[in-house]
Amino acid sequence: MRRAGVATLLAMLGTLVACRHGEVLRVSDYGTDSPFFPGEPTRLTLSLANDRDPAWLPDGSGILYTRERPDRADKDWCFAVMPPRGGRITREICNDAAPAADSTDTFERASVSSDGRLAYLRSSGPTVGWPNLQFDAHRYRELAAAPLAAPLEAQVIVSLPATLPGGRLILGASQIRWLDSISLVYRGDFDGWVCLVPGPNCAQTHVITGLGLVYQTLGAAGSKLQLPGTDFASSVAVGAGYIYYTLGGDSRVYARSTTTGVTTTIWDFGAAGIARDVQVLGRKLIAVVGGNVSFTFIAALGYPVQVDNGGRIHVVDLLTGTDVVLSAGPRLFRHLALAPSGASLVAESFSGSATDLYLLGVP
Amino acid sequence: MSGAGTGTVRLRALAALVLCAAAPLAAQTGGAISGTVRDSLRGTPVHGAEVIVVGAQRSALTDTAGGYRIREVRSGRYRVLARAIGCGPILHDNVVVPAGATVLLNFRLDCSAVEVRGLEVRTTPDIVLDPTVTATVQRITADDLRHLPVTTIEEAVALSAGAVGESYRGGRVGQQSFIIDGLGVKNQLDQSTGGLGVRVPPDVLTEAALVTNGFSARYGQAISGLINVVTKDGGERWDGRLAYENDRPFPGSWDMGLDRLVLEADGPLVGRVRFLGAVDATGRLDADPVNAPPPADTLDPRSRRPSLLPHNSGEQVDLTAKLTIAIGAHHTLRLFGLHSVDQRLLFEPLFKYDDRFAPARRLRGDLVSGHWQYAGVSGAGASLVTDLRVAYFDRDFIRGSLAEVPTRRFGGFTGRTFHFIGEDIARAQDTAAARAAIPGLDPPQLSDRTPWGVPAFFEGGGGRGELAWNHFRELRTQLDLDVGSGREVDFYLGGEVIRQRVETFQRALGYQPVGGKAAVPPATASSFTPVSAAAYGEMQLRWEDLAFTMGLRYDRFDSREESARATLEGLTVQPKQTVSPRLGVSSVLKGATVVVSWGRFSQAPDFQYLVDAAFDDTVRTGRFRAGNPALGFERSSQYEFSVRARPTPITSLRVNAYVKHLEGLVASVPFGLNPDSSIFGNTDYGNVQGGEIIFERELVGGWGARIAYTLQSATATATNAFQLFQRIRIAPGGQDTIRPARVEFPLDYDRRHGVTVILQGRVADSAGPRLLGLRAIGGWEAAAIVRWASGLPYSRTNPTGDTLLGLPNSWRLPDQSTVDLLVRRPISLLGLSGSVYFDARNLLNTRNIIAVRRDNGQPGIDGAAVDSAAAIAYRAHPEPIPYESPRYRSWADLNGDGSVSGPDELLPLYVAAARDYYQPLFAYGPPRVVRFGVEVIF
Repeated sequence: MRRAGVATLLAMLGTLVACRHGEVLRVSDYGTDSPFFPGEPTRLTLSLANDRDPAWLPDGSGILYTRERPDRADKDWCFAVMPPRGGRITREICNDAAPAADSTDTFERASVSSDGRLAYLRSSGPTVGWPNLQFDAHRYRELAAAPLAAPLEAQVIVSLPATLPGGRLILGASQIRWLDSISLVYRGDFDGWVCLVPGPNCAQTHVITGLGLVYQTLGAAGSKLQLPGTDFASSVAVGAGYIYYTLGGDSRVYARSTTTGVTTTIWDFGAAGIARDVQVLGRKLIAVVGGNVSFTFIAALGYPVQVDNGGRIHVVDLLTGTDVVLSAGPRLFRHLALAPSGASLVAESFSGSATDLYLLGVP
Repeated sequence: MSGAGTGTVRLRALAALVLCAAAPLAAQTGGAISGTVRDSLRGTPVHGAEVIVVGAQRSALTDTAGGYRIREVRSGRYRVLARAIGCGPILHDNVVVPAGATVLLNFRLDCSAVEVRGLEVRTTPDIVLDPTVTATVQRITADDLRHLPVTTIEEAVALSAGAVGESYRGGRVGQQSFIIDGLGVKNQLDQSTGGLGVRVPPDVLTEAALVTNGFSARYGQAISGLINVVTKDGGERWDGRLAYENDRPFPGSWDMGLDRLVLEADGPLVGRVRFLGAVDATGRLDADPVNAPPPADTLDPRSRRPSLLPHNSGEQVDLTAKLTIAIGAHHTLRLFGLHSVDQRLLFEPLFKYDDRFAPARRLRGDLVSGHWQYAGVSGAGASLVTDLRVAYFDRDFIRGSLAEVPTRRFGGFTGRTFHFIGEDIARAQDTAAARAAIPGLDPPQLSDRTPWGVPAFFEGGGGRGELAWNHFRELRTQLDLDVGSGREVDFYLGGEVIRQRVETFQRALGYQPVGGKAAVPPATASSFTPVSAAAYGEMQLRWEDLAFTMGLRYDRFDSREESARATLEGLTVQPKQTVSPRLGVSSVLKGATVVVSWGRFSQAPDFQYLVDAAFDDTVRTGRFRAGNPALGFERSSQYEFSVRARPTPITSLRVNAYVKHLEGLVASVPFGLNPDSSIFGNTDYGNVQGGEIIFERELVGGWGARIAYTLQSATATATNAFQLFQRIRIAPGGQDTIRPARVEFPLDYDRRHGVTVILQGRVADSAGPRLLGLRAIGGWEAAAIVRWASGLPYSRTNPTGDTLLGLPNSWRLPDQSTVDLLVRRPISLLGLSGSVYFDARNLLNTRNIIAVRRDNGQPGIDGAAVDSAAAIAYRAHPEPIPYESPRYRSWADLNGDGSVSGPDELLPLYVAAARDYYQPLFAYGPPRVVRFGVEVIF
């Protein structure tokens, strides 16, 4: 009797404790790391709204870009991170703070340093609805830096508009590149609406054009200066002791030594057209060249502006001098970002009136 | 039944079921033993005989008529010894003394012998027919709790006739007071909405009782009933109980993630110090399960597991310890500590797929008390019992967004204290800091984690921004004197002083700063120190079968709340006072006991209504309302006529008829011209009339039963303009509009009919054939509770919810019914007894509708309303969903173009989301909930 009782009781207890409870409701994972169009080039985004300003995470584990969110009530532009080969967005960074609920807040021009610091341009303006956002009515616009893990806890680097030491007024910033953990170089821009063709019924056009490259140090004693010889710069890249850049209306790529300040021309695309969006990794030089681009003097501004709707991607082997055009067909690209591995790049391309991102392999 | 001559009748205590009786001083911790001592040969009274309650420090001497009465014997089982010089003593074992009852125990001493004889006598008092009592008590013992399919004291008390959950005889929640070991304990801050905060583990109980009428003048702070809980003292030897129960072995939706561990032990420590300790811990993955129909959409995750809600887990831990110290022959000191923690994740459909943003709450309660009792020697029927109790009660409540959702470690247990965003601001009552957005609280966004993907209905990324905290403390000093003068007269005198501290804080939409376009209201906070006091006197006179009980109670409370508005308007809040007389007469007429009683009762209002805040009223809809520090007592008058009889020795029948008038109940009334602003006032009145019929058959011959039927009508009378504006107008449309002065409508707990049937059966240990040396069915026990009740009332409104349709509470929910079952098989382990048991609630899985929408009277909305809601949501967000979006669902991309776009693809998603969101989960009561348990008695 006793043995049977012990055995029964132990069996009961064992059964009771050993069993696992059923799981409560869990949300399914709807994500994927496969692109919808896996061809070459691979279309990464299919949104009818704008996807732009791609950048790579330092370890190449993802693509960080700006995503327009017309589905949000405040029509914010957010950062999104997607897998390196495309697929479903894995992280999104928006200005969800309550005071921002009645304004359109934009996060753009992301650049992540090797130690995980995010520099970006953020701005806020009244919400007027997609797709008619007005960019010249900002409540604030500023260049900021923050840990990538907490991008909203940002330190303001420059409030815009700002005046460069040479007296030039910049309204925006783009092509933000980390030189090291305490200094940046970026393109100071005119970023606003302007009448490109004067006349009684002139339509205002949103224009973003470079006015010069700005060297910026961070911290309480941070300072900024315009790099000499970079008036109307159109792009900038950094690497191996050099600042590479292009100028508006110019087919050449320049390299400025960060130690000596000496500038040299490292490549000239010549008749291929205006070079911009330069990237250099090792012996590879990549740039967008020619295409739908113009460099025109605008009387209303008193200086020329470069309007860029995309061009061909050229890959140049600086050692051998070979120049390969990546893109085929009529599709034009701009604002490219080379992967840390150098094996692929992401670039914007227009699909209708908005831009999407494409992934291309790099030979 | 109670005399020695009936000692051979072995009625197990569990046969008592829920005992209904009347008591001379209902809601006490102790009862009385009364009777006579006579010479067995001559039949003459034995004068000067000593009757001793062994182990209870109580004794008495018989008077010249041989009579004796021992008062304030703590509820429990005792041996009672009678002895006299020249006579052989008589010892009665197992004399059960219920709280508030009088055990009739007669001795016949053999005065020709001197040898002590022990009798194996199990004695239960006939508390049905006892004519010396006037109150109505429905009692449940610790054995009942163990042998019925109930787990908590609240569940046990809810079996009583006239109880609807925690509403008693039509009153609303919060109109009751808890008495723990004779000590009043009440959450005076928000009892009507927040509960007590401490739970006594059932294993330390001697008994719990519901007193619904004519309770003693000793007790106040209640107008509908008392829950009287008596805990046991540590025993003379170590014993205890260990039990573990869960639903792990059960498949599918039968597994609600329940684990419960109970450990109780008591025994002597050193000398005359006895210890009692218990822990009762319950964890549930789905702490508030619902019996809603499973969703028809197979893409809805809950279609596969319809009963287990996310973010709905809870854990409760109750710890208690008690020291009983006998000091000398007449003094006893009891030190009692109780600590309860209740942590809950709260499911909200809004955050169904981003559940970490759903709210949570933590409720902690601590009670520490000291009880010194002096029991004077009874001589010639006179006695003095003095009880001095000092207690500190501390209750802390917080609700809001969790700083971090803790990981569950075992079942529903996290083993960690919940912490909330902004908790430090709330505890500091920093309303200045709370004007800004509370750091860590983010505004909610439309969720992209739903199965449907579309931006509609469900939210995530942030919670509601709610932060509510309150803290209630009180130090209570209570003195009670029980003066006995002969067997015929008892006097009860005493009083109490209660010093309280109330602190509250509330912040809504905490992710936004105060003000702004959203008109975010400022945080509210209050801190004040009310003082309450009471004094009472009560007398009971008895002549044979006739007893009179008369009592008078004086209550006073001074909120000492100095609200900003009161200061601004120069108001001086005066202390409130009230006097409550009580009267009862009982006698025996033709074998039945007849009781007539009347009493007035009062309670101070919940202090939450004294301060500015947003709270739900039990009758009204919730709003932001101004507190009223000038609120006075809520009162009731109760009349009752009851008849108790025993048709047979093992059956009893009780019939109670009662009328209760509720006066000055707190309600909200419009305040100024702002339609969304109101202030509390003592403006509601109610009438409750009803009858109860309770038939009981004791557990004899292997079965017992109890049937209780309640018929009741509870109506409220309002002079509230909020209601009156909805009523009939004379000369509608004219300038000379006249509105009625008052309206009458059902109270919230107006349950017209209720039937509760309790059946118990037990197979004799020796019954049935032996299989492998074991009795296959011997010792098996089963108990079933069958309940049926007519529906509770509710109010209907127009679709926008701002206008009542008809009178308040003029609509009725459907009937409800449940069957609960407990089956137990005794087992032995290493010489220890124990059992395994199966406990099922709502065995038949009845889908009871317990709430409906106020706009249509149905649990949910119909298909057309779903389509309408979906269409509205679609129009708000017609944007295509691209492939890379977290909202993209490949199965919804019908044309495979990498984008879910257009009404053909998007609208079905919005319809599915609307159907999902509007599932009326909490409109339904709990499903079948089962558990399997093992217990060891040591």
